[in-house]
Amino acid sequence: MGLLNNTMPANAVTNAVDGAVNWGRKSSLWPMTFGIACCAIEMMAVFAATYDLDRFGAGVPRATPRQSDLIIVPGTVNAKMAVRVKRLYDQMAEPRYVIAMGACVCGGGPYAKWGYNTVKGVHKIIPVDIFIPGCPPRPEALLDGILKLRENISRDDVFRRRRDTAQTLDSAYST
Amino acid sequence: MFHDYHAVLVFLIAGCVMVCAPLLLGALFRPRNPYPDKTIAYECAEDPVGEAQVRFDMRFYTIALIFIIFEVEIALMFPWARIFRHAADVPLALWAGLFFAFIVFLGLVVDWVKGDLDWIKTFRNKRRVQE
Repeated sequence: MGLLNNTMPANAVTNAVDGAVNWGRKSSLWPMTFGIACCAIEMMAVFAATYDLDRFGAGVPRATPRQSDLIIVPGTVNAKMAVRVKRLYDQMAEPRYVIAMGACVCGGGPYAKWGYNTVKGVHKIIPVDIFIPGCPPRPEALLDGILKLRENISRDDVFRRRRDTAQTLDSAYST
Repeated sequence: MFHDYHAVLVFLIAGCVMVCAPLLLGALFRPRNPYPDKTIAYECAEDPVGEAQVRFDMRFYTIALIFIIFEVEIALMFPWARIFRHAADVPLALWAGLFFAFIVFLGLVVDWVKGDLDWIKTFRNKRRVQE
């Protein structure tokens, strides 16, 4: 972690600086170009002109995980893909955020009971910030998820000592 | 006499600060957490195969150059073919297009004569040197 990250007590100064940093982070999310199944079609619609994700600063999907800090997992994750999803998440720049899009990613969806090869929820592989149910979710639902993620980011701890958030989960997963 | 150059000194210092300050700020802010799975080469989440610094055969160089000749030809022939019917002087447009294709074809002839189209050209070049 960075030199000063999560070392300061929470007071007026660190609260203000954390607010500024979080404002920057939430206003310039870089999603990764990543689509697995049918939910990806809805995700592409969100990136396109009608729904225009660029209004929220997250409209330019990057072609490499090195440049992206948001992975939207859109579609059924099977056992073979799970290894790849984990590695893609590992290779992303930190701080990184995960949106689980669709019923399959949230908990197996139609394959929850009899799917022999489907991972029953991507949260079993990587820490998820936002779950968006639906089969597939409408573009508005994904927009709402990203807005919720922005709220989460604005409450994040940068300099303040870390409370128990998704990021502690993150470090637990990465070791 | 050096008094005139104070401004330059100030600009130099300001330039250094403006380069170093963002780097320092970034080092203070950004998370740094490298681990093997993160630093591995990105190949669409597959295991990296081979090395990045692979040697290509030098003969591909001429092939690539010849390819560019025809790529340019195709790129310029498409708009020509698209508006061909609407040209004011259709025979002239036809001859102009054919003339352009002929010029590009001359480039191919030059390559052909020089032996750039042959994959194995050792003997030929040797003979030419002896002549």
